[in-house]
Amino acid sequence: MSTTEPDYSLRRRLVSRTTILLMVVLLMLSFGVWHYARQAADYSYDRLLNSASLSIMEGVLVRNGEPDLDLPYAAMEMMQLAPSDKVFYQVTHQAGVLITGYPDLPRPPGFTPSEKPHFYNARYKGEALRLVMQSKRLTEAGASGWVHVTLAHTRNARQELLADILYKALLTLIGVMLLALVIVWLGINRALQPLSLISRTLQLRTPADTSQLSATPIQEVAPLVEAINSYQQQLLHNLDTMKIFIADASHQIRTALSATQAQLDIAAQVADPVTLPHRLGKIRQEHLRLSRLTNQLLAHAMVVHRGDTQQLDSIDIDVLLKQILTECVRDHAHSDIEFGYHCRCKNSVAPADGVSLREAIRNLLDNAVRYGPSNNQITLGLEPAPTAGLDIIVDDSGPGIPPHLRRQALQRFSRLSSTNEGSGLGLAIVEAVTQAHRGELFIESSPSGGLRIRLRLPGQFT
Amino acid sequence: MRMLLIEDNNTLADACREYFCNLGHPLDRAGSVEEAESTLSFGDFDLLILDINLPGRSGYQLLQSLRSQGSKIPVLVLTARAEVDDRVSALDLGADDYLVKPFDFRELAARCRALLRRERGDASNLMQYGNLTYDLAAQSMRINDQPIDLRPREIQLLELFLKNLDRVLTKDDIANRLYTFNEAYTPNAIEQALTRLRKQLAASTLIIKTIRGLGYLAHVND
Amino acid sequence: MRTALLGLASLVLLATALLGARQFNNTGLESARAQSEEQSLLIYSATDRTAIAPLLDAFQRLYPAVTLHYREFNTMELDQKMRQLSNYETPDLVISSAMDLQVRLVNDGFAQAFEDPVLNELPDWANWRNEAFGFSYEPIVFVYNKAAFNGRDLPRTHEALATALRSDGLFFQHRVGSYDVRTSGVGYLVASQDEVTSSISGRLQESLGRAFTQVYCCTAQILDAISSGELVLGYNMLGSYALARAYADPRLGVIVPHDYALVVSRVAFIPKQAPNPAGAKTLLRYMLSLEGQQVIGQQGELVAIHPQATGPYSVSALQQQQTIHQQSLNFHPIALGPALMVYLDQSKRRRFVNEWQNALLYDPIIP
Repeated sequence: MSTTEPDYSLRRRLVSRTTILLMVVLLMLSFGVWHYARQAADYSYDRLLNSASLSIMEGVLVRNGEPDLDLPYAAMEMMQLAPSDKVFYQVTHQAGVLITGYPDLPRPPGFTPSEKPHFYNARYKGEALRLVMQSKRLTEAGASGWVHVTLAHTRNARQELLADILYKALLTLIGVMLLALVIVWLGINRALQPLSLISRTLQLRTPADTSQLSATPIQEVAPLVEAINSYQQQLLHNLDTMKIFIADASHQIRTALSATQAQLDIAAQVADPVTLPHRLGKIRQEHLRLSRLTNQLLAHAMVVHRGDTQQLDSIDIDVLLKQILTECVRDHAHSDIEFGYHCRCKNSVAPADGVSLREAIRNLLDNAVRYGPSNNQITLGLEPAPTAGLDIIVDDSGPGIPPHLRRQALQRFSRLSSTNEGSGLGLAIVEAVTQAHRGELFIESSPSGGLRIRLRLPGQFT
Repeated sequence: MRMLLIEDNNTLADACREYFCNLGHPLDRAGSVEEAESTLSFGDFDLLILDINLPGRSGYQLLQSLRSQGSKIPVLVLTARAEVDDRVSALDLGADDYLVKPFDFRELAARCRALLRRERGDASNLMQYGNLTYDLAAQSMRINDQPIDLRPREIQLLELFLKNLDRVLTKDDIANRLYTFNEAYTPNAIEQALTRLRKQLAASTLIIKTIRGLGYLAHVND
Repeated sequence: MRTALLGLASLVLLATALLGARQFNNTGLESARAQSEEQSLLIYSATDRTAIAPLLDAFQRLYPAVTLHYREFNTMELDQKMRQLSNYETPDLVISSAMDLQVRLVNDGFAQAFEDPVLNELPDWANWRNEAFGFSYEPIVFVYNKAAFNGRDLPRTHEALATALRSDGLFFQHRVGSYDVRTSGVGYLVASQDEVTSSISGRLQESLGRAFTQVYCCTAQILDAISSGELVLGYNMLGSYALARAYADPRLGVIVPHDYALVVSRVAFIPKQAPNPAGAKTLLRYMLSLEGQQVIGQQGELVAIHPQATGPYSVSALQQQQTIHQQSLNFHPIALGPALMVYLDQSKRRRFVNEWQNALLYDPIIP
């Protein structure tokens, strides 16, 4: 059997595809983890920023009717929880009047004062900053109005936390993936075990062992075991058929040989030369039968062999049929048999093995001649089959075969009457050729009441 | 008329020799290709009966070397194999006819006669077909030495069939050979001529068979 | 399977790359030493030239090709100068004892990063962002006149000092000296850190006020006054200078307070626009290396920060001298970080100085 694909290992393929799948999952999870880590880092340090800014806000007091700030040391100490981040702050009141801190700290875009903290990002002194603005409404006499505390720090700690979370999560993920791979590897090995078991069982078998493979409880493997068993059954059946065939054939050949030998023995002993021609005639008869039988057997073997091995060619069936008919007419020119031919096909080219098809048609014509009356009318025809393909039809005006005997006619060595001289192989050859062409064989009645054999070749392929 | 049989089986060869002797035709025999080649170099033969399956070099090789030397001697191939491939390749290599073993001696003799006839047809004006004799120059036919009168059409028809023995002739084939372009003809006319010819040939061994739907085939049944 | 492993490995590599495993660009001390190209380094410093000279001289001996230009400022001047740098002159290294001002300069983006294996030996508190580095370890101490305290108990804790000031008012009156936080950068830093670190700083300030504590701008003046017996005690003295004087002058004694001793550090950083950053890095690396620290430990007048440094000006020497009754010292280094900027806040400073004045310069006679 040839495959277009190069050999591959099912195990390797499963593992590599699973790996690719796991990689994709890992990538997706990594993205998710990155997103989560960023959120987590922002969340934690925003809280720090918020607490510290609230603490600064607590340091806001009113002195001499002016808002002032006593910057709480604790607020900055809190900010040192992000140890390597720069810190910037600013306290303003009345929309931008600086109380203390960095005067040019970026303000939030589109800001309206509210009691809620306002987080935003900006760049300042060449650094990416995270800022929060806290606002508080002063209600003391002479110093009413909004006070804004802006607190900012650089993003180092956030990046570090993000990297830390990402690193640990990725490490865990990769570990889990590796574990999954190992499990997949083990699982695949486990799953493929029944296959190795079956092949080992088959290898260890002796040719004489005809027992079946024991059934397996694994649902996925059961069809394979069943297939192997049924294939084995088929082989055994074919072997049986072959045995019967050989037995039949040897019986026939030996019978004919004994008959000939008996006649020869008697002829050798006979005293009266007058009876000699009669005996020789009998011997000749028996010999002819033997010859025909041998030819048929060899033809049958040839046809079956070719059916197994031969590729079908595109053949013009019309031309082939005319050749065969011409040969047949020449061989039977002296008889009163009338031959006819018709072709109702526009395109008579079909895939066929010319050699075995010739053998089959010749056998059908010979049968018609042999079993038909002396004024037989034999017609060979080619017609398009009802759906696709070609029907090769052989009609005669002989006695035909009654419907109940038609099945039996196709079997090897079945002669329908004890009187005729057939080998019983003619139709079996035709049947074998039909099978080799994946065609169908029909035994019907001809318009003239005789036998019609219809050999249907399947639809032609390009 | 001399024939050479190249066959390694003694029994078969002896039987052949005896059979052809009884028919009045001497038959020389060679057992191998080498023997055949030396025999052929000594004498003239009219026909070779060649077995393919020989010890040593095969019959094909002999056939091939004969044809490559330009020899036109008719060769009838005997083959034990039923494979048609063998027959086809034999014909391809230049055999004139073939016969599959086991064969009927009568069949062998008939094929030999047909081959010899085909060969002699070119050389002599008087051709023998069983009990029918045809004189090409005089365009006259005899059956069992009795002259038979034939009309010109029938003569034409007879000649056509004799030149195409064992081949199918369609009505168109016949019309094209028998009639010129400006002669009007009907299929009926051909059939009538044929019917008359058949009547005349009733006593002869020449049979003209009709194959419905295909045409006509002439065969000498001797 | 192999492809799968390869894939995973590359993924891991990718991940580590993403996580930013930064590479040290190591311009080794040795390679710079070997090159010995003619180059110059400009140092802006707010440290006495004499204190840092041994270190710089040692460096000069190692790298004769490097010419060091040294410009001295006081701490405030230096801060101002750095904020108004002209293109005409930019220093390669900035050194100051004003930790808070240095931190603010770094915070405001005046420094560039320095990453080097030598930093592994540096305590965390002395390294901020790999930009600002403390390279000395100077405890804040009490200095006393040995003769005056003859037969008296030495105050070895802040608490003990506060009690002594109150209980022995006559002995201490007008004879205690300290920095004027209004004029001394170190004085302000130490006083404010006292407030942050100690719960009794308010009481101690009040006690100092009752004793009519004299305030000075500079360490040398206070030490001179103690030597002469004009003062009996100097409070919150810079330990490095005090130690150097005490080694030379037998009249002086040094007490490292046992409850806690603040530790200040000289801070160096490489400015962002340094014209010769490679040279500056070589110098900084030398200053922080055991080799350089050993010079400080041996020759003063700073104290080495490197834990393995030895000599009279090392942490181990301090421990040895000051350990009495097996009581170990509780050093409290002032960590580099943004918290130092709190007392630089204008209103915070105003408030702190006001309170300090109220407490310390309270004059019961002149209302």
